[in-house]
Amino acid sequence: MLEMTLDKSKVQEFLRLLGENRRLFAPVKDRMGTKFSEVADPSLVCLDGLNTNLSPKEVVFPQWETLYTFKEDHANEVKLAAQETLLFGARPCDARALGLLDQVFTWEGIDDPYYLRRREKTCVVALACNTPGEACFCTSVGGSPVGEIGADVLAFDLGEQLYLRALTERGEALLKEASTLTEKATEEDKQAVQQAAAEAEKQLQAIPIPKDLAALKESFDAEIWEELGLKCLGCGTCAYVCPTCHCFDITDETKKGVGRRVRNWDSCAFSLFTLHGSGHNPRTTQAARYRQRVLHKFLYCPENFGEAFCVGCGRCITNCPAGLDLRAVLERLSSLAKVT
Amino acid sequence: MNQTTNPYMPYPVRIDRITSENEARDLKTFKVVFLDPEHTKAFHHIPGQFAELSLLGKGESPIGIASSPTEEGHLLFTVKKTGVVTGELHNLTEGKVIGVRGPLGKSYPIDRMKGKNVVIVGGGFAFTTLRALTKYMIDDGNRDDFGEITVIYGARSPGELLYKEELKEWEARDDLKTYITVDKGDGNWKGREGFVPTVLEEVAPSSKDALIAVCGPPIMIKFTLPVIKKLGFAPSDTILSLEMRMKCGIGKCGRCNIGSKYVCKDGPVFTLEELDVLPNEY
Ligand SMILES: Cc1cc2nc3c(=O)[nH]c(=O)nc-3n(C[C@H](O)[C@H](O)[C@H](O)COP(=O)(O)OP(=O)(O)OC[C@H]3O[C@@H](n4cnc5c(N)ncnc54)[C@H](O)[C@@H]3O)c2cc1C
Ligand code: SF4
Ligand code: SF4
Ligand code: FES
Repeated sequence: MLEMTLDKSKVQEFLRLLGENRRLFAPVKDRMGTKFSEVADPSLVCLDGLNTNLSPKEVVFPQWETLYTFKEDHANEVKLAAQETLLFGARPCDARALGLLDQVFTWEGIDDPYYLRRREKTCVVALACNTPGEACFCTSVGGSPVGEIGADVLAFDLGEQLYLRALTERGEALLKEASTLTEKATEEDKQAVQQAAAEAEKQLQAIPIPKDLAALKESFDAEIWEELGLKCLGCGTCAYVCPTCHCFDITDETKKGVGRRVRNWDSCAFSLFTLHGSGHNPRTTQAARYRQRVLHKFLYCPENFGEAFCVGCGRCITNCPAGLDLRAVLERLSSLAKVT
Repeated sequence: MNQTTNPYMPYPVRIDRITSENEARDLKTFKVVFLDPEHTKAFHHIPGQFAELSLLGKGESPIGIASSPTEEGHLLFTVKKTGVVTGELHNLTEGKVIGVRGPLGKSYPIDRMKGKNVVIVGGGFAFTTLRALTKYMIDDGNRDDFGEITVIYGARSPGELLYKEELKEWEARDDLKTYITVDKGDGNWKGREGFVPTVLEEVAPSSKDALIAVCGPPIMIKFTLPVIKKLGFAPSDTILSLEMRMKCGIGKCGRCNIGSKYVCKDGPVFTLEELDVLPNEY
């Protein structure tokens, strides 16, 4: 296991070097906070912010992408190449979310070539959280502020320097490429990392997660959904900011017979999501749609993939205009489950 | 690259023949042939599966494959004019090129049907994949694999029955029992009148060593299921086909999700036993 340290004054140089033959995505400041963007100038990278408003899932699963182009009745494939990419500074919850998306996009032997071309070329350097945010609950859903899943390198902010631990061969190769800028981590560094990890985990409060799937199934007809459905505006923000939400639409954009078929993020919160051409709609109420979001993540995904599709990043909580707090919902569902 | 590497790319097909199926003229059957013979060879479907029909510039629609794989060299799709894609499809003429993406989804449980009696119950224009199934079973090469075959098919009026010529042929055969019914006949109708569930109850096919496959409008399904139960068919031997709005057709886009199932990849064909444990969201 390769463990290195990088003086913080050299972070820009480090990124510039690795960015020479890669696309670099990292958090940068914008009006609203921080946001993952493709960066040409590493001096703009900002590692102080905690969770960006939008998750970095768009690096591998863009909000909008062309599936193929066409002219009249002839479809033309687009070249499915992708450039080597470095995703730098994703938090451990976001890195773990990529691992969950991998499962959907390779599910039952059906590979999604658009997702995989980017994912396979993406090296993830995750940055552990020394001070988790107010809405974070990663440890309650099986994650950790210093978790390694989905990452190739795990970094720790040790004040004056970054500690970098290679987790995969790809991560090791990356660190070796920049070895002129780094130094071998000392015993002292490693101890500091251990201490930071212990302290970070201590700061997170455990919230109850409904784990009894049979009981959760029973909640389908519970009154709680009616009440939550009245609050939910159906705006879809929660799905757009969520690192694990992956529903998409496929639409055509065309002008005079020339165009492209594209896929866009979608959300089960929208009333049109399940509307049939005949006018029939299996989910007519916002209650049913809000329930779909929660049960898909905490019941259907555990049934299909063995784990919940929530990494506890808290984005849907801080960004919901109606103030719906997933933690409170999960707590209520847990107590429902206990009663029934 | 083609579908084997990119499941989103449609195969180009030419519309060879268009048959108008009903008096209202909102149901047409499209016979399509692949432009590339390699694609004909690569496309292996089993009755019950569907495909995405693709109109570049308009979109895609999931449509059940109405032909049996025993009808080689072409595919049939019977499409109701509903919205953007199906509306444009109805405007097309023979010779036009469209796209087909598939085959998608799970088929009828043909292997389980082998050696058994099979009852087919259809209503309205949802008869499409049941036609494929029937056609498959009564094919010369397959007929001996199945026991007694009973087909009960009904529509609102005589003009709304699909595949009228073929139904006559089926009625004339002695290796399958065909019962055609309409809710209400017209001056020329000499056949049976009555709702599908009522006819099923009268015909009363035995549930012993038998499977029953049902497709039709929700109201027909609602009244047919109790009859099926009364006849003694187990939920695991009662087969239905679901409809749900779809996009990708391959279990990625999330749109057709009901409970832990995805209608596009785990269905559209389900047993009643499987449906009984799903939330009622379809
Ligand atoms: C497995 C399956 C088999 C089907 N088989 C047939 C068939 O054999 N014949 C037939 O006429 N119809 C069939 N349908 C229904 C058919 O797919 C819709 O009527 C059609 O997609 C409507 O598309 P549109 O663009 O004309 O309507 P619009 O209302 O303009 O729909 C826009 C888009 O929404 C989606 N959509 C809308 N309604 C449905 C729906 N009911 N199911 C799935 N996607 C929908 C499609 O992607 C469509 O392109 C089937 C549906 C499913 C799921
Ligand atoms: S962000 Fe809030 S209001 Fe908007 S769809 Fe999600 S839960 Fe509903
Ligand atoms: S559901 Fe909310 S808390 Fe969980 S991963 Fe998605 S955005 Fe984060
Ligand atoms: S249609 Fe996309 S998951 Fe079923």
